[in-house]
Amino acid sequence: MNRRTHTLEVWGDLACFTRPEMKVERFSYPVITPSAARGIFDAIYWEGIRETDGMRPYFHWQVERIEVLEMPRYIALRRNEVKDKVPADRTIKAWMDGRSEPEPLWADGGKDDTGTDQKGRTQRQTVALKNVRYRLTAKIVPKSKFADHEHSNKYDSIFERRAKQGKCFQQPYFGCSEFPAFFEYANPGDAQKTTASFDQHLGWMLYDVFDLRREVVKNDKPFISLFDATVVNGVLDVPPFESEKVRKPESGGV
Amino acid sequence: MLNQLVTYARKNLSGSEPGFTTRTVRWLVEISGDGQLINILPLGDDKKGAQTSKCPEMGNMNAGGRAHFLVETLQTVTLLCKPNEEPKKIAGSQEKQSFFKGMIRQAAVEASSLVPLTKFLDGEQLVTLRDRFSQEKAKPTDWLCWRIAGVDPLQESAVLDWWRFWRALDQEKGKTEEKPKRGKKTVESSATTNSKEMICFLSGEVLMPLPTQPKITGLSGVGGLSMGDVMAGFDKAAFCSFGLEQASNAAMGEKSAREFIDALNHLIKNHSRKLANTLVVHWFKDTVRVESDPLAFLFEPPEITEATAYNSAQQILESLRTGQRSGFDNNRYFAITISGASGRVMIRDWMEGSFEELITRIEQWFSDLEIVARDGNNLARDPKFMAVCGAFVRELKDLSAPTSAILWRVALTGQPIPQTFVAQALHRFRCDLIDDKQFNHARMGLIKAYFIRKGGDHNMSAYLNKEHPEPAYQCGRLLAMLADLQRTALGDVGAGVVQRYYVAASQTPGLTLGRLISNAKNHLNKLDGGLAYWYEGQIAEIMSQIEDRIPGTLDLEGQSLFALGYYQQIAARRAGKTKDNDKSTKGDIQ
Repeated sequence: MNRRTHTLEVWGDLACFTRPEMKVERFSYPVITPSAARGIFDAIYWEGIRETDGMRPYFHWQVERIEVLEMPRYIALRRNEVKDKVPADRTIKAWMDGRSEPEPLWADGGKDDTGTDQKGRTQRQTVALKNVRYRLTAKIVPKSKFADHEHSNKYDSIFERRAKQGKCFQQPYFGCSEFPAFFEYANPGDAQKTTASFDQHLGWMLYDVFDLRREVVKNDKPFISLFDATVVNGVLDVPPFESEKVRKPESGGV
Repeated sequence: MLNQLVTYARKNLSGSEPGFTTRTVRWLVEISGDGQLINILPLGDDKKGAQTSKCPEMGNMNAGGRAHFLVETLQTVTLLCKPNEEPKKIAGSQEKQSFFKGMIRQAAVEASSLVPLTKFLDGEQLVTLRDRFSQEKAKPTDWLCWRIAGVDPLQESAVLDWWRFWRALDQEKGKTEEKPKRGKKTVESSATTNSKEMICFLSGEVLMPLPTQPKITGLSGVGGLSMGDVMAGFDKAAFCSFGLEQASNAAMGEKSAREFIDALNHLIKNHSRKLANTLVVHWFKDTVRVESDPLAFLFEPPEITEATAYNSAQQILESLRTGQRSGFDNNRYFAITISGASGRVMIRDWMEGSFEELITRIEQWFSDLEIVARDGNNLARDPKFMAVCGAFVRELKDLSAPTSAILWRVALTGQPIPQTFVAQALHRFRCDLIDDKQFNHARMGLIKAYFIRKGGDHNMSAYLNKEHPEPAYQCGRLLAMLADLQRTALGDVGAGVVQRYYVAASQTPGLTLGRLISNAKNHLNKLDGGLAYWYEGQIAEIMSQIEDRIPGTLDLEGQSLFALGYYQQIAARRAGKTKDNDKSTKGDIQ
């Protein structure tokens, strides 16, 4: 069944789609990744049924096309960050239940104060993008339980209505939640901006960090998939997740 | 971007292989067929040694008394130590030496060419060797290699195969004996399982990612460690994801990682240039000869006997357009700006584009910077890139890494020059002017380039533009002429018009210039008739350009135009003089 596609024009002042190999001193991909684009669609509409074994989503978003409307421009930032991260849920629950003493997350201090160099504050570089603008095209891929025509039409309509009204469950962002993304639904007949004259072979690019085909979402293990990304005349064509062009751990990669 | 380094390695570095690296080896020890020391020879033209590829590398496994195979340091092989070396380190070196000897003995069983070396190492000749190195004032950290009975063992396939086999066995053993790391008990087992089935970011193949990557060397001058830095290193919890450990967070296979690291090490060693506290490394998809490398023009413009950098870029571009030069049709350039940060490699910038586009940008860069020389007779020579960077600061050591990185991008991509750079350049211009220092050509060119790249019609030309429509520019000219008049009338008066009034005139010309013009009448009275008439005519001509539009105040851009008008007017006045007599005309006009 041919699905409807939806197009969003998204823009923002800053963006950072961090390359995994450079995520300590962060360096952004020059264009938005499919997973970050999916996150924007998810923020507007993504829904499912809460069950005992986890969340059973109605569908997942398949990004099909990314159009770069502004030439990528980099900006270097330095930020103070914490070295540690929030502990696991069970640790926090133990604190809440009083079974163990809460331990603060050190926002400052060096080895002398914390007794280790794994906690406290550190300064890191971010090479982000500035003044980004993309046109993202994606479609809803229903899960097997909800794949009938009626359901599918409903999801498409809900998304279109929400996007046109500017509604979202959370503020969409460009890679980091500090960099908000703004969006506008693009109707098929609307006059469109031309894409930037940008051509680059990006090599193996991060496609997603989860298995999009999963029927139930709960404590997912990482499932890092890649695809060979080439931007031609400002357009990055994204293959479907099921495609052999998307290298997945299970497929042997070749 | 790392994929481009892998491509470079596959094309240019055929010897890139896990377990081997390129080292800078300082000494060659010659051994006879019966295990006797023949001689020691220093390697390389300088005191650093020679680049030697295919040196066996233990990688991160050489901790705990392990040594590299065959190519090692003098301290490990001969126990040559610093005079005040700590006993603990000497003991460590002895342990490493013992390991080193053991490996050679094992290898000699398979590769008979190493038998003389085992005899040499087991005898008393190591003491002689150490004494020889002491006499030569060798450093304990210098690396040495061997020539046994006239043969380099690193060229022997039996020797290399033994090392490959031994390494593979050792790695397998390491995996089976691996113990869980302290403090990592909470890591889910799922993460460990998954890390074995990850896709390499460089090759796209499913494989076991490297837990730690080999080091990138050569960044010690730009914030890196002397022992090397890693590209993908994740030692803090905040930078790890999904319970993945260390370099599994950016899965890369051993072979591909080795390739990109070898490529980067090679480029850093042979094709890098330091810019402030960063290194700029560039290369091309298809090899480009040195004389056609447009980026070399930025750093080392040809001497005046040859064509200027601008002309060279123009010639290359023209020959590409006319088809005289070929082979660059699909060529691309890649430029990476890097530095070190606490043991990690920090990527500061990445640029790539077509070769022709690069040449166009370089041509544009030099064209925009073109400015009349301070003697007024010709154009100033095309400035080196670092000279332009130096236009912002008193000394080059004050130049910040981000400033040079941004300017590098501006040069290569044709972007506008940031206004803050012009503000800095203008500040240095004023300081130098008041201190009676020479005009800096690169600085004046940069101010001119700012207006060109900003867009719009700013009537920028390399020489004096008498018809320039901006009153700010004409005000600068007027001040230069008034100062010239004062000097002609009074000679050296110490702090003249420029030293006393330049800053005020460039910021509030409406308040200052009127007073200076009325004072100029006194100077005119001191001159002979003809000269006085000539100056009157010149001042009147400038005033007619300004009309009645003398600005009350000038903003940054106005002040920049003022400086440019001032400089070009002085250069025009000097034109035709036989020599650039800086003593009599420094600053302006004393």
